[in-house]
Amino acid sequence: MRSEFRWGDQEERVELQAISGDNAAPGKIRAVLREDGRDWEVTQCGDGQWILQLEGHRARARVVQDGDAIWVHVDGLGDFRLEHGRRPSSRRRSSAAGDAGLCAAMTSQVVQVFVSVGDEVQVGDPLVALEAMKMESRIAAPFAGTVASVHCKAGEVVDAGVPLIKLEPSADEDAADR
Amino acid sequence: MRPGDDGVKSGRASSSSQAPALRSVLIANRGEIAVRIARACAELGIRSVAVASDADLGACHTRYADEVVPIGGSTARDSYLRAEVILDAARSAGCDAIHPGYGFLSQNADFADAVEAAGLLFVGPPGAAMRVMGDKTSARSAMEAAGVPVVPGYQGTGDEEADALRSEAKRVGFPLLVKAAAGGGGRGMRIVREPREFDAAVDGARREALAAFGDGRLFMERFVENAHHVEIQVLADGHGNTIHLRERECSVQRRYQKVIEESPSPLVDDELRERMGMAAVRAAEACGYRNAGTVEFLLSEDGSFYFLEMNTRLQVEHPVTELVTGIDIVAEQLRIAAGGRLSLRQEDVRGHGHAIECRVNAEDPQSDFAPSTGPIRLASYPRGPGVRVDQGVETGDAVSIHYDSMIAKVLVHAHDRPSAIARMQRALDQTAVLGVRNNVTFMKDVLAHPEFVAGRATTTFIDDFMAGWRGPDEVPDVVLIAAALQLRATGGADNPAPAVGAGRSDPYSPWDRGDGYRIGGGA
Repeated sequence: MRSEFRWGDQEERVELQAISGDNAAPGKIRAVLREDGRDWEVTQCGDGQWILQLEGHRARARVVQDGDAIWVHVDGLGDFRLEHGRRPSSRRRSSAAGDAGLCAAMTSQVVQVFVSVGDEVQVGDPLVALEAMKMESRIAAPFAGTVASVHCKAGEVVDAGVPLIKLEPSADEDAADR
Repeated sequence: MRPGDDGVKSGRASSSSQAPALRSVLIANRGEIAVRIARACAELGIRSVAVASDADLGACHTRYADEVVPIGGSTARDSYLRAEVILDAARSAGCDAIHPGYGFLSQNADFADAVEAAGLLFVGPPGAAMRVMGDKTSARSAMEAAGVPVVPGYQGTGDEEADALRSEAKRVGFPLLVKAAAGGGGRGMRIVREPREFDAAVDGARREALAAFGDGRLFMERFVENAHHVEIQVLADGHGNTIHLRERECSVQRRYQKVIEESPSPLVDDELRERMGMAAVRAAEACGYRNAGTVEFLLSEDGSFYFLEMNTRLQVEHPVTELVTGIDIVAEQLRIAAGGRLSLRQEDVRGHGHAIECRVNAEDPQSDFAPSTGPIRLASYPRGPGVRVDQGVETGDAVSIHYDSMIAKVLVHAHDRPSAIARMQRALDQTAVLGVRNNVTFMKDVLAHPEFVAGRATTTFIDDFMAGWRGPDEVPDVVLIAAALQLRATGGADNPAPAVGAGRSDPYSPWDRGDGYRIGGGA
């Protein structure tokens, strides 16, 4: 059986071939990843807990699934969030702050919006004050420009990655780039 | 009447040293500290009453209390900061005392007074002591009169506009800290390295302080570079006894919020401990302190120390002291609040071995410790000899945007510092928090850092040595294999099991079942 995972920008593929046992109690398996195949001794202990052994080294893993997200803890290695499957083409991630708009890094409450449409801003000018879990943060202008649109208001709870402000770079800024 | 009450009373000579006559305590808090207080109540045979905001109905802390009173609201301001609502909850639940925990109303002197005025006991200091310590001018003069050295700074009314503060800032000198007068835990605090950053820092600190404490007063203090943060735990009863429970080293901080604490401090020897301890006792006595409190000092490497502030409440890191001294600080708090005497004298306080606390937070150390929210799919905490966990989040709970990001405190106790560090590494190895980003791997790297291992970490350690920290560059093989095994065992997310009753018009209707199903039957 072959599975594909994403972790950040990295894509990984794992191929499992049972040598003995079945899906629930695999026993010995051959795992092929990064073009390297190794034989692992595997035991499932309760729901989502696995003991994996390779050449005398043992690891205890805990795995939980949450839709496409697969969270894995391995003692001593830490906690990992993997996504199952290939990168979906539908989900467009904002790349350049300029045209995609400026977003909150996490779900936050909008404390204050400092600008309105048409305002001229300089690099570093505060645009929006956000608060989450009692910590305040600010979104500042990454470049000089004009506020093209404002998509939030004070008091509102906004999700991560949703554009709050769109900026039009000023002509000077364009000139400076050249 | 609790079983054994009579036996306890007849077995003691002095009635004033009695365990508290408290019957029921309202815990005006949430998260791990509410769980901690409920545990102490259970051991003392006291009924514990939790309060829960709408966002916290069914949350971890509500499951450890004997009773829960919903108080509505979700933000701190709309729930745990509403003094009247908390008082009503205590009255309606028939409580005779309120334990405020830390944060929220814990350092609100008016609240402490209101609790007493309502005929209830406040498990904390008198409002008057909080006012002395909460106001920098009076704290400063009280400390100087008591012979306790203070950091240069400015404290006016606290409500000044940025303009008025700016001229005082020049006198204090840069870099300086703008801090919330009602603050604690780093909220409402900003470092200002240059004058031009000043106005924004004042605005931000004030707004944050209002949100977190319902009080926007600010003060300023010179930022002492290369200092260790060392604090002394004190206990004072209402019978004139004040003692200290040794020090805690809390230098490993991010955003001025403690991450790792330990006791003893690698910098403090017996002689310095005695001097700092006595200074802390004088500080407490100078403000008429009662109950548990903490006197924070900045300690420079030459052994000189300055009074920073007194935290007039129970602190997050109090278990570190409990582990090295064997004293249950929350139990002492309840005893003191009920009018009892301290259960021990200064000469009875001994330190044994070394204790470390690591605060497991829902945050991303790779993104400037931005808090991370979401449901917790698995919270699995370490166990074993010398390991203690005070948790506020368990499997199935959620970390919401409304409150702080602490998930649990993992503590260890061992015979010396190196073995405590080794034990903590093992404990963190076995700490799993799946569902949000967390700082466990980051803390393991702090514990392994040569500066930390050498005991040289100052308050700027994380900025100086951990800036730009990254987790692993790639996913270990074993992680991918475990994920693949789990997918295979469950049929995989791409191949869901066929839906129940697929093909029928109403999959949940019992009427077209052909399997002998009977309503109420045991089939």
